Amino acid sequence: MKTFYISSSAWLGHKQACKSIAMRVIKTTTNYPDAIVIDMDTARRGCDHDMDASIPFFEIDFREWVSETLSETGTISIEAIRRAAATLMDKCFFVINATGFHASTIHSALHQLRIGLYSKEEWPLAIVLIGDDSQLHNTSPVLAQAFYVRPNFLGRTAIKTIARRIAIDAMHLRIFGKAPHAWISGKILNAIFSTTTIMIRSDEKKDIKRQSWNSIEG
Amino acid sequence: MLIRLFHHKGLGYAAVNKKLAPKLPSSVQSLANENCTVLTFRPLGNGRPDRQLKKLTATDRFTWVVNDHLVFFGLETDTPLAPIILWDCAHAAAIGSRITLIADIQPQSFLERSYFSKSFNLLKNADGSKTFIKISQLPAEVDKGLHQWSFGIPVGPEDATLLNVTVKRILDLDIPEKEILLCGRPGSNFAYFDQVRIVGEDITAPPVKICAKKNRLANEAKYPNLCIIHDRVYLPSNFYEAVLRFGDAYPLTTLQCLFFDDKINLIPRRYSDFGVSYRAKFNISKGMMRDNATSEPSTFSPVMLPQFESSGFFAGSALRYDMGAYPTGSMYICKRSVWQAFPQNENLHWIEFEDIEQAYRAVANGVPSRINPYAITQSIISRPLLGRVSGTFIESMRGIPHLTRPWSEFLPLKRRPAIKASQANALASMQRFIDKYVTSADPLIIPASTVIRSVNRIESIINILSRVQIPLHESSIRQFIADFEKWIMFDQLPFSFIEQACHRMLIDHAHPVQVLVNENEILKNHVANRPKGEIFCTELSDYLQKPSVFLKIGTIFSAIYLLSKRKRIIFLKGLLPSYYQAIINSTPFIK
Repeated sequence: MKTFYISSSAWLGHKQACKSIAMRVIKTTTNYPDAIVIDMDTARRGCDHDMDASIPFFEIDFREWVSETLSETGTISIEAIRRAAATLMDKCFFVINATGFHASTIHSALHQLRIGLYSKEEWPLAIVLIGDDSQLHNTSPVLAQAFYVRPNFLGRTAIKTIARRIAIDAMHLRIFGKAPHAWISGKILNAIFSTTTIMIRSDEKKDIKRQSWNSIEG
Repeated sequence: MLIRLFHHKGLGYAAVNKKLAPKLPSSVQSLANENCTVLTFRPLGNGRPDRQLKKLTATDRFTWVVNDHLVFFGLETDTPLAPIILWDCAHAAAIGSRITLIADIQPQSFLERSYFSKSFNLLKNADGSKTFIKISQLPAEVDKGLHQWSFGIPVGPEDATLLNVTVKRILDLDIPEKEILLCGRPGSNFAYFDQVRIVGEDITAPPVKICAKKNRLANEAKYPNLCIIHDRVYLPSNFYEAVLRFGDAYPLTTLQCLFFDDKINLIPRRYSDFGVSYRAKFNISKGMMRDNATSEPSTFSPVMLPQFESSGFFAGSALRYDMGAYPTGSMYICKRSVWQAFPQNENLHWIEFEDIEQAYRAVANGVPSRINPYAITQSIISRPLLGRVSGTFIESMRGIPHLTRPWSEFLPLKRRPAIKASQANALASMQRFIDKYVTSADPLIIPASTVIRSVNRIESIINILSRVQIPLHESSIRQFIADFEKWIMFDQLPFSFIEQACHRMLIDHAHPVQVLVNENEILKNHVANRPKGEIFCTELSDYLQKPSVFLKIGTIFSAIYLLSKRKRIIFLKGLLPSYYQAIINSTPFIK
């Protein structure tokens, strides 16, 4: 499944061109799950022909997923998102028009959509998110990672640091066993308590003996 | 005859003495003079018993108690050992003899369970006493005798080096009549094709249908005594002597197992032999088994495994008996007819707690599980998941599980390979994982040192995982984790950990490096087990021990250690020489 972030100006001004570009990307590239961004300039350069009507565009207004009366930024309806995810057709473009919504609301909705799509056997060909131009560099990375674990390159130093930390933890585990602090404190406290208990017991025994002797003598 | 029984005080069972239990009624006491054998834990009102059996534990057998009429007074009320005492006495009883149970308030006696129901008829049930008469032989009696043995091993098509060692040991055992059955065809380097019988080649894998394989072995067995083992279990050279000493008509039995992590027998670990769980039986939620039999929802259903796993499992003590005890699937010593009466559930596959399911079903029907304390086995390999460097939870004689690790665990000794895979295979598997999950735009080369040094291995794993790309889709994530287990970890991850990992990736959007490396205790255990090297083997014979003076010294130290901890780790009948000999008898030497 590919994801497309299309800026609202491009979608409103050149809708057919945007659809055509998305369609061509699906047809001409491999199954690799690219995350594509289409802005105004890209749409302007696009063309309206080559439209293939066999792949439907299933468009949903983001407003249906949000209740705007509860808070200023809107509150997402998890139930509506899950229902939409469950009824989503495969082999289609799923277009979410989220123009004019706060970025955090869109991110939360994508998070819920991911959970909704988790157990679905077939995913759509592409998820297209229409968002404000001002949010392009804010929301497109979130969309790109919303449905995939993407590579997150770590430098040599970071890798070595993690590996060293694990090696040190493992060394402690090897020498002291589980929970070294508990081991050390346990040994010390045990020694103290058992010694104290033995001392108290022997004192008590002496007392009992003394008392019994006294009672016999008495 | 009147026999009074006493528990071993170390077991911590509720005391049965003059202060804490009612006395034996004189009417029952007088039965001893009427040609009956009366067995009880209760104190006597007057007089002395004809015989006293002190320090009773679950290792003792009662097959010598034979009479036309056995009377047990308050047995099931007074002792948790009642099932194994009743099992032995019921098998020793001749046809036509009677067994009377008095003063047990349980609605159903152990002798009323299905295993006994065809052979024992309830003659009288009144005034708090039940009298049974034996009308036919029990299944374990039908398979009488200890001189004929069928050894069964479920095998796969992989390298047969270790299988050769295991089979060679069985061939060397001094048993009058024996046969070896393999379920499945072993690798081409198997050396004893002419001395074994191969069955069950039609059973497909994956998934590994271990239950179907073991059931097939039991069904194909020619002899009445079954010993079903995994190819990692190395039997003791005195196996026959041990089973003779333990006696005939045994229930579901196993031997205790050790794994020595080092090359000189100095780091003994109790390893996957006999388990106990106090809570597993009482899981509330149930699911459907793979056959969707709606009449029998089960806690062992595949969907319930992550919850079932959190029940808590410990290595069981040979000295105690508990209804939650079970032989782990790696070794069963069992009568063929007993297995056939309670076979493994073929709805379950390998590592799906199929061993617990069978043992619980068996005991619910009257077949207890116990340990033969006259020998031990050794495991040739150890799955790192089960061989924790931080120790193993072992139930002590008193019934309290302790985290136990040998004192020698931290010593810088030469170790056996931690994982059953060769270095070349490990490298190839990791490359297969890279080819599947790492984006082709970024070719990644893993250095050869990855399979030699632990730190380099961890670095490579982090490097690989940081470059993977997978859809957050249920089947894809589960497949990704399964491949990670198989091709990167070479170890099994707990069911609950897999669920947690899926949850973290989906809900928290956590990266695999975080979930599968940073939060992975099993991987940390790998590094703790082998901080420097010896992770993978160069050849499979690395798992075998070389005879040497150091090995003898190491064995003596281990025998002293195990003897001093005999109530906490493994229990063998006998003193230091028995422990030493048991270790030597079960050590897999290079020949």
